[in-house]
Amino acid sequence: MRKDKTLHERVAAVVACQKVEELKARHAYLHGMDRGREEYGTFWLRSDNSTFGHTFGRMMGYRELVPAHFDEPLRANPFAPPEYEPHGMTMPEGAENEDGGMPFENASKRHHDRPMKMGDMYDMFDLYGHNPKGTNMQSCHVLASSVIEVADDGKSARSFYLTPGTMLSMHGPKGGRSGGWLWERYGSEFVYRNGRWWWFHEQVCPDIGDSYDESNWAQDRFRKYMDGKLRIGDCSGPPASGISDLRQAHNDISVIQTVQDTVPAPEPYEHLDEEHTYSPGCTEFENIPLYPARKGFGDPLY
Amino acid sequence: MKQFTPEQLLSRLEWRRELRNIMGRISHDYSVKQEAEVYWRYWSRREDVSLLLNRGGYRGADAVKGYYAALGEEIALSSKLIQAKFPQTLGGKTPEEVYGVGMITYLPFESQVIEIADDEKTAKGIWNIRGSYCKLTAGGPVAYWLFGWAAVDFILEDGAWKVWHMQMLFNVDHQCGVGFTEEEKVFEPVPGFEEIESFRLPEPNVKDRGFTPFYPDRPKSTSPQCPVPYGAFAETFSYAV
Amino acid sequence: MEKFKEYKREFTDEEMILHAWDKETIQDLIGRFVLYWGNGDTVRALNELWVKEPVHTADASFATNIGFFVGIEEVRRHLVDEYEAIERKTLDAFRAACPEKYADAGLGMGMTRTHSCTTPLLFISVDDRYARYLGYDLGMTGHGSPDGTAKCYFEIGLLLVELVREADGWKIWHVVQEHDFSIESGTNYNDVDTVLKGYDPASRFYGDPTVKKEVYDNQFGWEYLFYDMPRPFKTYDEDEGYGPNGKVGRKFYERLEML
Repeated sequence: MRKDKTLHERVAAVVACQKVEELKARHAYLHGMDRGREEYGTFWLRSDNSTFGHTFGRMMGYRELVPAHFDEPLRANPFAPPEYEPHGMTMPEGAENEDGGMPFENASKRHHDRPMKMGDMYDMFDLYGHNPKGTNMQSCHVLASSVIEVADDGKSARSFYLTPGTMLSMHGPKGGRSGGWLWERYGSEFVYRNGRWWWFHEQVCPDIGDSYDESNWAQDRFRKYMDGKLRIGDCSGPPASGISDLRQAHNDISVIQTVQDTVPAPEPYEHLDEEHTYSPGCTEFENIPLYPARKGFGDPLY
Repeated sequence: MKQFTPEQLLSRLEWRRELRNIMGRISHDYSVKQEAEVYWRYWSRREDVSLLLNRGGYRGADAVKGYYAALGEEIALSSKLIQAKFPQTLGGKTPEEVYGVGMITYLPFESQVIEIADDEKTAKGIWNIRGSYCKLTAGGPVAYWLFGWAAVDFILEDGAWKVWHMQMLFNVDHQCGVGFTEEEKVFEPVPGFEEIESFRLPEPNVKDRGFTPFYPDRPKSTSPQCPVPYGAFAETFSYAV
Repeated sequence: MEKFKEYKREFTDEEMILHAWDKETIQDLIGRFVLYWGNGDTVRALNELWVKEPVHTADASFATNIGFFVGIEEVRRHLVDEYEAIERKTLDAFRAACPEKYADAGLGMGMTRTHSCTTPLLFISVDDRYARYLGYDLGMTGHGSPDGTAKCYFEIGLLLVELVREADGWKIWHVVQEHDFSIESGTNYNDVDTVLKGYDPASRFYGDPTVKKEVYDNQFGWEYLFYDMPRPFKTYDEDEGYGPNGKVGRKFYERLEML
């Protein structure tokens, strides 16, 4: 790490760390409210080198990640069953999935044998005073164990987080509400351009998830593997057709899988490059064109 | 309370991030089954280090080092047994390649409170933990919930913060899928995994300290103390055992 | 040298350091609060962390899903007295069942709880006097019975906190605890009839608020969170705040921003 930083550069690095924390938190809540426009449309760098990696592979470029920005449909929705019709700017998950809610091994086929409040709403009962746009979810990929490093050149920042996240929903697979959890590791990269910080790369690494709280995730997975009912990667979604790059696929835990350090905690570094990135081949962010903002979707905060 | 200049505050802001990064790195290392490296990567080499767990305290460098080394031995043994169980998929791998197979430990650290001494030689922090882990048993891998705290004294050595004393105490450390105070399940033994039952972590060398998870008539129990502003380490409490 | 910019402010280096330090201080303050709260050390929390100046104590508030406790003494009644009443009831039950065994037992026996404030989202007002904070509380509770069993829950919900800078630093002024889920350990939540019977085990902690109103209906999820979550703001505005006369708990037809 550079030892000769000016005071201004040191302050800028502290501010960058806090900005990373803020963007990560805004994402967590907005994603939990299914408000993809308000995050992908505001604080993601609109470039061909912006990427989003998950178990399904790596979405390459803003056009693939946010096709709605270009009035195009989502090319692939990796979380949804094949018959699901893409509708949004980002990938709906959890409550939107009619095949049982979440990609958990113990998720059961949805059958409504009990009423649910969301059902009331959609049937226009008991709606008075409730907000039809904002309901749905109480999931949160909560943030913990942050490691944040800002590049010596002050133009990028890298972070590692764990999430002991919740995947709770207002309408469960059996009616009523559903209680699920999903724990992941995140490797994220942010860049400073045009006087502000932007989200540039995200690599999501789901490791374990299940429904609360009757089963034992490790034992269940082991027994199912022994019975031939579960293979590596079955729980968190396999590589999906329509995704440009499948190189970075990360799989949820399996008894026969060796440790995947897909997103190592960042070390101090000079600048974003192939040695220091969660998204190889996509580290250039200064000398590349940006897609124009859509009217009404600039970040109103800065 | 001492008033700091902006430049002093800037150093303290940088240190706070370093301290949080250390805890984040420890968390990362547990998640990729590198617990055995935690002592070598983050702890002070002082002789007066200590680690307090529910089961008791490890006082002194050898005891702390020995505890982390034993975690590595348990992982190595578990990995060897799992490898032998699945020769088709794992049989061709070296012990290094198969180390940690099938296991994960989530120790998410959050809700921190950090105090750096006025004399800038030590720091204290407490974090909330709400985690889960799995380990190999004679009945195969079994998962557990964790609710608790990590409370840490740090010491600045040659410009780098190091863990000096740590308490990692759990209000809940109980099998997933079973009520937090109910009897844990015993899973059907799996041939080939019996050997893991003979593995024992080293006995703590401080036996009269520790923490008891919640049970129905447990007396009131609380987290480790929360750090408060302090001038020098001698003027505040210690997380040492 | 380029000045730092945030929302409607420009900062010199020194101003930016102080601003960043304030954010760290506030994170620590909330961390301390949830730790004290979980430990049952709520008297200390109120004495050290909550507002002291009369202009703020008068409308200091703590809201649960069913209403606001208004005024610092009402907040104390909820955080200290109402919880102590639950502890006393628990202790009495144990003593009634086994008088000799529990003769020396103290308050808090057979009970436990933890709170947290993960995922902090925090903004300080342009005038530097107020702050708004959102965190996600991943907690647990346990409640023992004399028959040797206990009901233990994963407790999950949101914490909206408004802070004000008093003469001796940042203080907690208004808290809204939006409780989402109580999930009993060892049971399959998907099998629980969460709607028909109004299932909400956390309601035993909601207390008897000063102002009873539906602050948060956890059966409908984060329906207003987008409007309530912290954003950059110029100064405190009661109408927009997290206090008893603020926006949290309003329905859409009471919200100008939604009409």
